[in-house]
Amino acid sequence: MKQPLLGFFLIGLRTVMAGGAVEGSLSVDAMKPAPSRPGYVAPQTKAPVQKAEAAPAIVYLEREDEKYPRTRMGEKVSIRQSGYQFRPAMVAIQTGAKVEFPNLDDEFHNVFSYSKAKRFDLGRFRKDEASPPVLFDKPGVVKIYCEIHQHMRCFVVVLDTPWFVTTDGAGRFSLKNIPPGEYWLRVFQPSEKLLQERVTVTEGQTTKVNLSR
Amino acid sequence: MKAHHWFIVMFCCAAPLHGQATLDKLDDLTRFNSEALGLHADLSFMTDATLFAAEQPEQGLLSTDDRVFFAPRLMTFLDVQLGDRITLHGQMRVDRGFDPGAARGGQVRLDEYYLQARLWRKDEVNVRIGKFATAFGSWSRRSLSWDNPLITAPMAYEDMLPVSDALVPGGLAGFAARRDMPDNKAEWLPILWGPSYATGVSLFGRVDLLEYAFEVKNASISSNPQSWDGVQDGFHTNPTFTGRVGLRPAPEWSFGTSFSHGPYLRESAAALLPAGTSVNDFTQTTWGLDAGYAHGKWQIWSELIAARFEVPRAGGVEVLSGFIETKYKLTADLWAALRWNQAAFGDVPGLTTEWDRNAWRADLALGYRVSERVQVKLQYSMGDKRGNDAEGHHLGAMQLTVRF
Repeated sequence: MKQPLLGFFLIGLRTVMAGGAVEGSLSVDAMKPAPSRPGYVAPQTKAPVQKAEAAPAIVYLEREDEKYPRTRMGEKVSIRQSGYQFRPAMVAIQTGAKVEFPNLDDEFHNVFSYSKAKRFDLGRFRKDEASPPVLFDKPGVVKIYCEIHQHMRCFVVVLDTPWFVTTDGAGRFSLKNIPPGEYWLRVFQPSEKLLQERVTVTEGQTTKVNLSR
Repeated sequence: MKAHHWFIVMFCCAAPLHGQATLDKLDDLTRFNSEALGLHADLSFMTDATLFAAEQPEQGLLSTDDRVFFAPRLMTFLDVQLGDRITLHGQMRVDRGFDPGAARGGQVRLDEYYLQARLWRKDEVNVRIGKFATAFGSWSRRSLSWDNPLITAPMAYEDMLPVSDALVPGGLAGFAARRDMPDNKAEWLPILWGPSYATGVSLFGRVDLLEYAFEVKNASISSNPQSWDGVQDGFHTNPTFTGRVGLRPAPEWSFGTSFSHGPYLRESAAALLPAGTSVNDFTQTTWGLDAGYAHGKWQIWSELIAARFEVPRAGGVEVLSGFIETKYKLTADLWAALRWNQAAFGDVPGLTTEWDRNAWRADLALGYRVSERVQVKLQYSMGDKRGNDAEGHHLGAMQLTVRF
């Protein structure tokens, strides 16, 4: 047991201390439009439904041996319900991390998912009422909805790798402190499309990648 | 292969649907979105495969003399959004009748179609014109199989009363005798007939904690589905006025009061009426209270409905019916639902006997969401009309719903 722990420690230490970087840009697409609810059952809201934020793409590095330091499990992630939208609409977390879903609207939301990687239903909870953090303990894409407001959707991309980022407004990304080696650079687009490309990370150097084509 | 064997086949097909990639693709293919035109169109589908096993004569609006009855249904919804103010909606159904068994050989209907416009900046004032669900009460909003925690409707929305829109009693004795007869599902009426998709115009909206809806339609809330289509059948009687005012003092609570008033007889009954009267003289007046509570895993709804029918040659008869319904999510995908229904009848005018048997019914259901597109429900109902064995006491039902 000691040897694997030591191994993970050393990998983690290398991640913090040194490594290379991967930078690049890509064309981020859009989420599929939300389905309509049949007519009269669409709830009237107390305040206007605000426009959803443009979702970023998730860029991450994976390697063949699938051994990763568990350095980002403790990150606190929060997906707010605000203006009858999930904000942000797309997040990435490492397997084992927890996500909170605070309600900032004056009406109920009911956050749920039936995805294979995580099935949960928080029930109806009101503004400022603490909802239990949800543990995401399996990797995969988790599609999250509100049972009351069907247009509301977001993605939680649960990854074993700790080397992931979200793109900025221009589709740029930068992954730093990556241990040298061969990787698959993968991109999860808001449209649920997956892009991938082989990259080599070299100590002290930045690998440039252009996925805009 | 017998009809209900199809249900078993469909039920077995539910497991592979868990992956739902095909349903997702179908859903994507039937959507059109153009930011430039401000147009969003969505064609969506919902299929139900429902199996009823009922003690005869069967409860509610189910019409069959089979011990086991299979009721498949395909619903097609078209929703078009033009800009942020105009909405078009249509709902077409293919099934074995609006109520299971009403058209055993199969039927295609346009059950709902309307044009809706938002007249004010937010949701304060909206107008809707067409054929659409009633504003009365709160059940219509969860009447579709996907939203209904149970399979059947509450008793007030489906239990037949010995009052008819076509059969005019010859006298008081003839009317009083109906209480001992089995339900005549082709001719009698419930207090409200399901969501009552009658034709008309509605003004509705929400202002902070208050919500309102007022509508004028071609048929009463108890009217038979055959009377609902004003475009196809025209407007033959005075209109029915219906409204609801609701209050949401907190996210957990909702309260509402509803009313409806209008003639309930069909034009065809005019020839049978006492001299000097018309169908417009015989009205249904209904008043309702509804309350809802939701928090965490719980959802509770209740309604109390009082109705008065003016019956030719008999006078005014009254009924009070209500239900309390609760849904509790046992896990993320499994829920239990329980509904208690009760109805009490006033006396036949001038007599000391009720015009129908007082009744109760308990509905118990378990539901399971396989995915966000597939759902399975099981229901058992037990009911009794006091001292009357003319209706079965037990009903079992199973329903598979797939939407895409």
